[in-house]
Amino acid sequence: MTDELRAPLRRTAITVSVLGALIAIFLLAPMLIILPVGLSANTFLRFPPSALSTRWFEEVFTDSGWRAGVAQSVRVAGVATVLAAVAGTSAALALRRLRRGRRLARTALIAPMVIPQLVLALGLYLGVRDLGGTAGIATLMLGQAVLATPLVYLTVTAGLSAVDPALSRAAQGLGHHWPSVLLRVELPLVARSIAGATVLAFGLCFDESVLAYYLSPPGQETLPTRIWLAASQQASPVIAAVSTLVIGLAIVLMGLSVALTGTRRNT
Amino acid sequence: MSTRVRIEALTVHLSGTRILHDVALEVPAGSFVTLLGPSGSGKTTTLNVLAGFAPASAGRVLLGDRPIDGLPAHRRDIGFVFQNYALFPHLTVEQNVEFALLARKVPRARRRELVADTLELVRLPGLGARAVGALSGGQQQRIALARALVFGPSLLLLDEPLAALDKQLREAMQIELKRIQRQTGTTTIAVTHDQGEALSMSDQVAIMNHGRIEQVGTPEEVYRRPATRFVAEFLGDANLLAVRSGRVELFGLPVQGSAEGTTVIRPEDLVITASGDAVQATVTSVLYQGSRLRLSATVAGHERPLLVSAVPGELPGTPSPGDRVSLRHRGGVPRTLLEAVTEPAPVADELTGADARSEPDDAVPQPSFGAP
Repeated sequence: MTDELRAPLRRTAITVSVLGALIAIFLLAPMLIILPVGLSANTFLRFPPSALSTRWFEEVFTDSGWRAGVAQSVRVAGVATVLAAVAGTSAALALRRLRRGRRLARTALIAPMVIPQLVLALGLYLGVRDLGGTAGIATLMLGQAVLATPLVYLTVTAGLSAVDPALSRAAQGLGHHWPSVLLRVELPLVARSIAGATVLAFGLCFDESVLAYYLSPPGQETLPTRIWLAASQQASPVIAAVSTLVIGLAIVLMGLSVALTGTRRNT
Repeated sequence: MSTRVRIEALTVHLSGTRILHDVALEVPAGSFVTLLGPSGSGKTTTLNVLAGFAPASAGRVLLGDRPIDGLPAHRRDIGFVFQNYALFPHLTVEQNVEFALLARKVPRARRRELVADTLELVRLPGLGARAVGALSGGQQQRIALARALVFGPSLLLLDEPLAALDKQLREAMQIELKRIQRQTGTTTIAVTHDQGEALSMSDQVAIMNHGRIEQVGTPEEVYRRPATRFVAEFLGDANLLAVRSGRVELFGLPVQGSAEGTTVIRPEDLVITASGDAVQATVTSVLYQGSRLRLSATVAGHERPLLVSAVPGELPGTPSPGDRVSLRHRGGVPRTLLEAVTEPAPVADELTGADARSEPDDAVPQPSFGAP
């Protein structure tokens, strides 16, 4: 390559890098503000804090309200994740076998990603009521499972696309009925994708706030709802401390998921 | 395990198109039959129907005396070797080989024994603990074969078994495959588009075109005495010559079969001779191929050149383009070709035919005389 050609390329590379860095800063800036605020010694939300302490983090870990919120979030997200993992994985495996209508089924499956969550929340609330029940924690678990299913479906489908369909036929030809093929060949080959998808789904459900806000009965709020309620009533740095922990968890889960689904794909 | 296989009137429709027309084939117990044909001729479909991977629209398949049409793939007791081997990447060599035994609830000790015996059979003992990804192509092939044979299947199906190997390995594996097949005595049906492979490995070759079997016979029969024009042209090079009143027009040679029509004379059946009582031809091209010398020569009054394959040492000198040579037939009675079994669209026929001939000697122009 000649120098005349190289120069504009280098300029483009620099421009792209600078833009990328700016966008990253813009996206990450709130986190950079929230962490110091959470570490503040002040009684009110204030940036920059006048003194540092870990008192607000200590409060999160000791206050029964926050602890109940975390426990509730783990419980709800846990159940929702299991449901989503089973539904999403089943859908991915089933759609691979579908000869016709695969596209339609696929669109239906990923629809929860584009439907406004408010609509889903309202629909669930009214639906459960029309069926004669009361929307509660079970409804919330179901709703979050619906939200997380497309995520699992897409991740597992991506993992399956690297698996030769002839392997399933080979297993059948060797005398294995479909449940055995599933257990011995298909599931082991996408195990990492399923694990990565599950971690990601848990992260999504743990942070989920719209459905949780509308569907959790009073006294049974999940963590995001508690943050929201706390923020609307007071301006304590404890909110920043909780948020920091939530963001930290999200980053850890993301990293774990990437580590599970990325690289070392065996084909 | 020697079992006879009988395919009766097998027909397959796939989304409105007929892929197999009334295919019938009898495979004697313990024999090695190859389905040979261009891509799209229905050979792989036949194999998939036998294995239970694709449904048949009509017809029957008997394994011994047992009809298997209604059985799902996992209950057919058929070993299948896939073109890309389809070894399970998450399992070791040993786990791959014993896979079929797990479905058959074979006790652990017996499994180990069978796996060891089969690895011995394919001459890869001691590889059991390896990951399949760490194997070479040739080794993977043997493992795929071991996996398909370990449970003593009544029938072994091979889908383009050697296509993924390089040329040298392919020839060695042809011999190996044949040895393993003989040793186990497993009735085997292979599919290939490679005529060399088909001719060298099989007891019988079934040549398929447009979803039908055009001819079944020993490799020698189908090559030396092709029944149809398609078979003649698909297997190696062919000089197609007109037959009039029971004789090959050009050489005045008597034929067997119909008195009018077309016959095939292989390039190696034409001899360059010094005697004057022969067909005079002008050499147009010469290809030296080491063990053979391939000539293309035109005869006055005939549009298409004749192909001649000679042994270089048997000639007084190497002819060059422009030389006059005398050609005679080596002897034997050619057979008049049957009217084509299929009525293919001419364009499609040429396409699939050309596609399937991937032999290096394609450099020689392919004669395709129109029947006069």
